[in-house]
Amino acid sequence: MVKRALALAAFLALAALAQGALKVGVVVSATGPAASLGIPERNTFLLIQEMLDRQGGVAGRKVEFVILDDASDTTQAVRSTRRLVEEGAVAIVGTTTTPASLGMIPVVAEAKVPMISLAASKDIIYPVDAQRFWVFKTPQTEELMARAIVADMVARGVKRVGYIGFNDAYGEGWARYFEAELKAKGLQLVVSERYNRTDTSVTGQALRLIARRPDAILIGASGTPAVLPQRTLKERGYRGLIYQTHGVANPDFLRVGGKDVEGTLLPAGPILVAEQLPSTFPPSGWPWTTSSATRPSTGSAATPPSAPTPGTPGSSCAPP
Amino acid sequence: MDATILGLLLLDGVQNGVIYGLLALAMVLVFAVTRVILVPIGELMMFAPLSFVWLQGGKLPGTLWLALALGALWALLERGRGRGLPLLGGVGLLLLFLLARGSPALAYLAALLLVVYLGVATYRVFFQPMREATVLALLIMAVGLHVAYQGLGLVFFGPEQFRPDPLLQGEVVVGLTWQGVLVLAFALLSAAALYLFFRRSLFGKALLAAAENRLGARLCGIRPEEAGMVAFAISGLMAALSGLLLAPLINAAYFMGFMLGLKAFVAAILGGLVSYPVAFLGAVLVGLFESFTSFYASAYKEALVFLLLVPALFYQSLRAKGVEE
Repeated sequence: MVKRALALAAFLALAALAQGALKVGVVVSATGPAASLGIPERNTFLLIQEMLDRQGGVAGRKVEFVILDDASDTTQAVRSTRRLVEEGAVAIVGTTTTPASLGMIPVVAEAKVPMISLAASKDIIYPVDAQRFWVFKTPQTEELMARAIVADMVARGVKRVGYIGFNDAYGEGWARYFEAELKAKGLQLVVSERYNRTDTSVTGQALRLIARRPDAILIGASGTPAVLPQRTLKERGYRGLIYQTHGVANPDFLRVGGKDVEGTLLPAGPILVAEQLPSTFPPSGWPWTTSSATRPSTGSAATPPSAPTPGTPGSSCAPP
Repeated sequence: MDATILGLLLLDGVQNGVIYGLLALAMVLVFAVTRVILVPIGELMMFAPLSFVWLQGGKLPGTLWLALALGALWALLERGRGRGLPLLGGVGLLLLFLLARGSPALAYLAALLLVVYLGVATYRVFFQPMREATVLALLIMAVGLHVAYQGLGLVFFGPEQFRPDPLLQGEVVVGLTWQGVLVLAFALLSAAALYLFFRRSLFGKALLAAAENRLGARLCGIRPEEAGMVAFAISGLMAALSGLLLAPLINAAYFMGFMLGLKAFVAAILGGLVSYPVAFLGAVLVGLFESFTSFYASAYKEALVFLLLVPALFYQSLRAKGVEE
């Protein structure tokens, strides 16, 4: 009798434990070209895990983050997502890049598991169809940021605009929304160029940009690879305005760019400059403190922590 | 397009092209002597400037421990007096690195020697034990090493780019920095030095002989193992020097080596993996082609550059007599 009671108690305890742990699947690009964004993201989840463990979970239930690396590769991201869903993840977070996030949508939609992407493109959540019903994302869309950039260009009296961006979904997405916004505001896009994250020279593109004499140039790139076009433009004698996207708002960009990126204009979420904002700045009651609490601990020596943007407390700035 | 733009594009193309050329020369050399297609040459190239940046920051780079670990394996594989070279080299390297923290000139030297040592150790540990294997098996090993070294590069140096200060500041004329001149001069000098080495020195001739006919060379008293080590040392030296010279111009990062290596490979293929002058010219051609396509059709640049492989491979396969090995 005692034995059976004990067995029952053990079984109930195990069942409670099994029911208690909420498994959340996390897919990030901790290696590969998008690693400068993926590594802080991974560190964020390690930090949140620690915080939750200390608090005893969410609403009394333990939360377990299962973090997988997709190596900045779409196939790997889809495979990891499928595995996480099959292992009973109640939600998926990820991934860092736009192309891979797009690939994950059918998998989560089929399993009816909600997914929160960390990538930038609006195409991940829009248009909201039967599949995208399950998909959310945290960073600002290119559309929103393009609007801010073009508004600033109009305010500075820019007429002719040039664009150079990554030769992938990040650069293409920016090119599309930026061009639409320029057209809406009556500005002229005189030249649109592409380059690769791993390129070692963009002299050809820079010469073509300068030859069309734009008043301002937007560089649609993220992280340290965004430095090369700006430096080349400067070396080739371009003296106009240079805009970057919110994908460069991290310390590494400044470290590699140095003097060459002085005077850069870029849009970013308010958390980046939270300490400098007046207390009346809306939305009042935003948990600004979260950002300063997570800032020192999210990065390692090799990757200084990126300042988080609204909606992604502690996460990296602007995934490509 | 006006004359200025044409001039700048030509200059940019040549400057990139000669770097591909140096890597292509190193690839052809290693292939001729050991039949290894040196895919990880891009990684060796990037280890040099990144180690240099680490040393300048007063830190010991992870590549040092990698080199010492491979050196220890190398020493284990050798017997008797053969152990002297890896052991002495390893100890020397460690001392040099300890001294070089904070001193730019010593750090430069240390980064160079590190890559040379790593190159030779790589050959001794990974390729020499399987020297009788097929070209395909050697290629698979090379690709594996490329992936492993790139992954280690990420672990050692993190995902971001770094920019060491150039040796020479400022511009000569618009579009040509002194650092660029240095790159050009170094490329031409080392091409000339290689030529002299192979035509005039006994050692170079021995290497050529080993490349031409392994068995015949052996009968003449040339050790193919030694020839392989020298080939790897020379290509390590060339890769490291071009990496150090190039890094201030392009921002070094752990993933940079692959594309450079791949383009050098295209050039080496244009030369059929046997001809040094054709490989070098092919590399300059690749650089120029890249420069002009990035001006006219930047979105398709990479595709167009690798499209160059198709006619080259066609030509090679038409010319080849159908002998594999």
